Amino acid sequence: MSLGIVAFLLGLFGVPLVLLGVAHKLRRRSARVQAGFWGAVWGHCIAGVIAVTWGMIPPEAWTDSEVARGAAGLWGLLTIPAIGALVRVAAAGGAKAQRPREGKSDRAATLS
Amino acid sequence: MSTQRPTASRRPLSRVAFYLHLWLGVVSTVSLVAIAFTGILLNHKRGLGLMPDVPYAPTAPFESAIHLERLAYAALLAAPVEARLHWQPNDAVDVGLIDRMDVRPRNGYVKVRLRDKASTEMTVDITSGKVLHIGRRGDVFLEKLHSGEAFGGAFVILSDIAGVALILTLVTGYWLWLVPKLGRGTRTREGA
Repeated sequence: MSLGIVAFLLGLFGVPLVLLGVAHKLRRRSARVQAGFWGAVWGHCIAGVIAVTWGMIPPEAWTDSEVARGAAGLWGLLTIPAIGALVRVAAAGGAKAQRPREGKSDRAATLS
Repeated sequence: MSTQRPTASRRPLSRVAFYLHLWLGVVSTVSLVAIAFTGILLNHKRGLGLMPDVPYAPTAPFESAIHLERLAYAALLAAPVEARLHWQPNDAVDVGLIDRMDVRPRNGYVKVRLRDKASTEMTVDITSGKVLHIGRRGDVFLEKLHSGEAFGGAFVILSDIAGVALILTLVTGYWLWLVPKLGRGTRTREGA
């Protein structure tokens, strides 16, 4: 199994599993984690669309010389969510968003 | 007490159904979207020009069909250079380049499909050896993508996983939709 296929499988199944894990009690997590989560979700949605579209247009088998297509189809599902998460974390960090978003749990914590 | 028992026993099952529905749905989304897209494209492969469609009628009886090797040679000779790779005119037919030969006696032609990345296909008259059409079979790659075979023979497991996930998501979806209604109906009847 090539490294590209491993990256593809991790992107296809691993990334959604990690996102589901992080999504559990998301409101209680820090603003940085929340920002990273939403960045990764957006990244995975975009990567899915790119991979599916570029994967089948043109409808021909991928060759080793098609670097961009291979990158989009195999590596994109893993790398684009990571890039999305990093971008959102950086953006949240820049906008003094170290505070977690106000939710039910935060209000409860303040009251107590 | 009797009204609470069925609801209490259903609650853990509903919880399992909810998490199965959520996790399987999210994890299999990209695979299912790809399978659905390729399936739709394959359904309309002729209309979308993914498969060459050569309307043709036989010009001579089937008995006068020429030898398969000659038909393969005619097809290789007409094939684009990038599809026939190292093969040169006057070389012997290299069967390693040919994926399959699909003979259509009623139409009077044979489709010779090569094993290149575009699955180039030549349509050749079986009695004259004349090449009628040269085209790419886009549906071959889409079929492989649909089944997961595009990533290797063993990767049909990907579409199996997606199929099982879809069935379980549907079943759990129905469970989550109907079971609360069922419980409410039982309570209403017992209350009356």
